Amino acid sequence: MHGVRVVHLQGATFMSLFTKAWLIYRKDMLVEYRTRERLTTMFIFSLVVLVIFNFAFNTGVTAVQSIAPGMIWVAFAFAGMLGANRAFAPEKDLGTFEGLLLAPIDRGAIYLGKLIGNITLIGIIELAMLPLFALFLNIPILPYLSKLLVILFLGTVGFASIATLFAAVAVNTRMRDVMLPILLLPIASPILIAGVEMTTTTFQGGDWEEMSNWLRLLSAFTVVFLVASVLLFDYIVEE
Amino acid sequence: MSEEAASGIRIRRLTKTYGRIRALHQINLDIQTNDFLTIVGANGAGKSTLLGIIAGLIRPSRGQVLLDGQDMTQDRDEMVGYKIGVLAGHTYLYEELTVYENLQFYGRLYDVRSLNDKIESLLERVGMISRSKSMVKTLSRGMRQRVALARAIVHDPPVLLLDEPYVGLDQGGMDMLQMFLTDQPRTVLLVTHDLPRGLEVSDRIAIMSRGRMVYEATSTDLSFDAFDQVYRKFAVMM
Repeated sequence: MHGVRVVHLQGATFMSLFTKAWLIYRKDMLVEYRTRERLTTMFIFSLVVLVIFNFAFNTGVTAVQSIAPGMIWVAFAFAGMLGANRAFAPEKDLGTFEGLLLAPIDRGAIYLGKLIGNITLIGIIELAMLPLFALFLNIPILPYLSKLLVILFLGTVGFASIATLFAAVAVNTRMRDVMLPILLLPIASPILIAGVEMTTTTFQGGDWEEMSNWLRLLSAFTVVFLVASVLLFDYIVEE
Repeated sequence: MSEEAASGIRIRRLTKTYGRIRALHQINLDIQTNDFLTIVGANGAGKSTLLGIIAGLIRPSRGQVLLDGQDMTQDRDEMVGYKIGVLAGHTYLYEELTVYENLQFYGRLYDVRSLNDKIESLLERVGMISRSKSMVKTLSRGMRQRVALARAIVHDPPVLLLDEPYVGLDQGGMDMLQMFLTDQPRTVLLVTHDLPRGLEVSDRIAIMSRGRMVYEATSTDLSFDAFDQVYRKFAVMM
């Protein structure tokens, strides 16, 4: 059965997969633009994490530089988790998810649409929060900005690819808010660790060569989860 | 397979279990192309589960559902979505989108051609053209159900699956739905508690009880009172 789906994805449906994913993404972003439900929650959460950590670790610049990567990734990971959970919960509650499942589309398109939406929202939060992190933690991010953005992008794609898949699993359970972190965090920890390590190396003035092992790990994880998620999504959402 | 055998919906030995609970047990059912079948039954009889399996939302434990000869239970084929329209308890409408945006979204998912003209014509017919720019969250239950009907048939499906479609509709809405169901040949499967309406609109009627298809007849076979007696007998068995 998996073989059949791979053939489907290799054929003419490949283009349709992205067209339909784009439709779902656009619909989600329009809804989010009107409600700002997910962005507000994610932003407030990240801000609270930043403020609490800032008071908890009232240390000098050198010490802050060693703990800042962890703070940044904790804030973004948990905010991302909140956002991913809300990508499916309202659809499930209102029954619109069934409307998507009934449509003549590869169900991988639903996953991709939701994934791009999650990446967009986490990305917006990261862009909004980075200057605040720099300000509160007194880290000069400008010299590292381009490298930092690439690392954040890669880490976000990897994290969101897993979070989106497990959010679809968790939404069918009674304790979905609790279930998502339980399912997600152990699996996503290699991505978060890679993100933290690469960010630490960046703040210490390291180059890409020094973080190549982490970069490979992050890339491999992301590719494996992306492909597996598109292929498995059909079976995950079926009752 | 002959053309007659291949067309319409064929259900063979369909069983669905949830753990130790048997929602459907060995269901056999034929719905010919352009046939209108109503299934009535008490709560928990398995009507909605049956509809969900035919729609491709629920995977059966055993058995077959053939749509125009194609087995839908082996592997999901996206193309089946073009053939089926579903109007169920949930309207499948996004509250934060307007009526028009909802139909546009679903129309594009179904690759509907001349979509804008199609939406305007549908909204005109369901009496919602004046509310096309209204957010769905501002509409009453009956209005949402009218828009949901437009959504269900935006792609002109030859098969319509209806699960309690009259809920929330006023008399005008019910008449309008009735008009839609009879204005062009379609295969229709209606699931309802409303026996009088089921008898009024359909060619055949079936009764489900405890996951089994326990009675089936054409709607002219018995008088309403006789059907009612049979229905009550099986409803009490729940």
